[in-house]
Amino acid sequence: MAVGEGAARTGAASGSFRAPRGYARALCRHPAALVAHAVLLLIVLVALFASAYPVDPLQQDLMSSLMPPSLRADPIFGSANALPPFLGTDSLGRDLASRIALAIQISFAVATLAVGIAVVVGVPLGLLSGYFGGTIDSVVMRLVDALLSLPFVVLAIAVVAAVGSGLVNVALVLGLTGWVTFAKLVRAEVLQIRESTYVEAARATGCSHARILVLHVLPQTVGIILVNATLTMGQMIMAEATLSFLGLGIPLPTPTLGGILSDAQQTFFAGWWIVVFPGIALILVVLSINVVGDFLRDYFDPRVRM
Amino acid sequence: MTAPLVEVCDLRTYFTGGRRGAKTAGSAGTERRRYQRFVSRSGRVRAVDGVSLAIRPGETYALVGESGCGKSTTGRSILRLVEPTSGSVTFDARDVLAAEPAELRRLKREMQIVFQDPYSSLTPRMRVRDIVAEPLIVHRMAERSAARREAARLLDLCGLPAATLRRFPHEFSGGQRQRVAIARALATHPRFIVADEPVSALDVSIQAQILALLDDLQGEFGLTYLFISHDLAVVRATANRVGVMYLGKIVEESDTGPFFADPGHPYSRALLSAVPRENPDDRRERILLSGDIPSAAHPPAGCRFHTRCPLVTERCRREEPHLETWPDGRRVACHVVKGPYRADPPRSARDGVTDAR
Repeated sequence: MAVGEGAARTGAASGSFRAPRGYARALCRHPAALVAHAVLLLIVLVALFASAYPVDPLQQDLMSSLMPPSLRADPIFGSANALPPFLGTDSLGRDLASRIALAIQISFAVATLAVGIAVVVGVPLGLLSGYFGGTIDSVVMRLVDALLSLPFVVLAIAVVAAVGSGLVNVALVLGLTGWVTFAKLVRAEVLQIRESTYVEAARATGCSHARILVLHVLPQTVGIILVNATLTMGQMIMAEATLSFLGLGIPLPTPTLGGILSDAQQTFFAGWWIVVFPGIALILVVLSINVVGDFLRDYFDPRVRM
Repeated sequence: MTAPLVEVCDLRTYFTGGRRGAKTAGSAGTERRRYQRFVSRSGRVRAVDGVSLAIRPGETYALVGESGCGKSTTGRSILRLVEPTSGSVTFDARDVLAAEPAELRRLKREMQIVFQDPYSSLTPRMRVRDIVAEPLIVHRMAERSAARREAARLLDLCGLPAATLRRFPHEFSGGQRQRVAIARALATHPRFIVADEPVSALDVSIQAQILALLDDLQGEFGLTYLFISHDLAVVRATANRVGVMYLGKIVEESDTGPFFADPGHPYSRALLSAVPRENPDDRRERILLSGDIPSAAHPPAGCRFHTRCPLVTERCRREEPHLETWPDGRRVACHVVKGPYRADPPRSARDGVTDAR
């Protein structure tokens, strides 16, 4: 009993981690979140094993151009592919299922890299800014304000146009604009934590500022960082798709969700599937990530009883 | 009389506007700017305003007073968790307030603190073993594994079984957490511990256990305590000497026995009369103080207690009384009460101090 009470109090005080068993239980009570977790898991598996799909996503076959979705193993024009075009083919006869799978993999790669960069840049800046205040705080927060005042996509287009496209460049651009939310959130959290008695106790012990920041402050912000990383992931995938759609993302012939959709706009009167399937894929990816992110946010928010 | 271990002289700690802002060393700048508007209106909060006290080795000195009278700030100022505005603090003849960072770190090995609320004073995502071992690692007194062994020994000493070493603070009850906090304070073998209301967040049944633990540890390690409390029953049970604070100043300082038998300052009498008595036939009159404690940003002129004092005179409103030593050794700051209380109290004021027994 005392243990349960203690856990509740800690949750209320700091929003720290709860037991994984509690996570599963909370998940069972939120069917939408449960479905989103399942979908996301599926999508991640697809992304991880995209290269294992036996059909080459880059193999053009003009004879099989714009084939509708089919379960027939041996299409009319005798494609050499091992699997039927479940989701149809595009105008160059490339297998759409295999292209979408690889595109999801690329999307996750870019978004993960971008979120990683955003965390690595934003979290330390937020920590320092919130903990020390003063000049550091003013400089970082003015930078954040400046970045937030620029339309994100316009900025990304300008930078990519300047430094050139490519997976790493796109991730860098997204990461170096996406860190602001991490910095702001972590700073707000640290403003509270630095006034807590346990930080005062650490100072009374004689801990250095660095030690206090890393061992006493940072661990308390892990929850909020995780939640924001998840939500940012969805945004990054969407942003990457936007850039690729505009031809500023990952260069051809690498398939990306935005790139496939961009190709499709020239031919989609001839075949609905080249728009619908990548569109659905993009929606599912972003939607499931956002629902999972919202669930995590509620889960880590001590004011919401789950 | 032995030389005092801790000597505080005319200590003043003022907060400009954001009290919180002034607490964290690095942040004073922004907070000050942010609160500038309010500062100009409300002035500085004089949380501690000229406190002098001397704590002898091995004794327990209790600071008592209402919430907001500055007793916690006094304790924190002595440890420099709050930077005092002026005054001096010496520990074992070393100047604490002038100590450079390196010297301050050494001092922190010898001066520790136990906080009031054990629910917020332990880092949530740290195992108790690491919480207790941290001071040893920080002060390079032991390597990680040795520090952990020492932590286990200290936790055992404070009454926590070895099976709990790897647990997190939230898995403990309040009393157990306070034991962890005490073990942490003991880790570096300090000589002086500020106990800032160490039992007021705990159940009464647990309070006695923690007080007994503090008492045992004092005997075993020869500790000196500055015991901050608003609970006079607790003070009576633990302290050798008592200092009564009111609005940032000490108004009376006395040995515990005489203090509880016959408090000198009118404020002390009011405080003591508010303590519930065990004997229902005890018909001592309750002294009800009217009004609130005045703002520490605008303390009243003259004696700070004059707005609520039942014995107030014209002089009290004009002139601030200083601590005067009475024949029995206690120090009292009052213009009216000038000596030990006799059986025949002045009945002049209708609601006067009638501590007749």
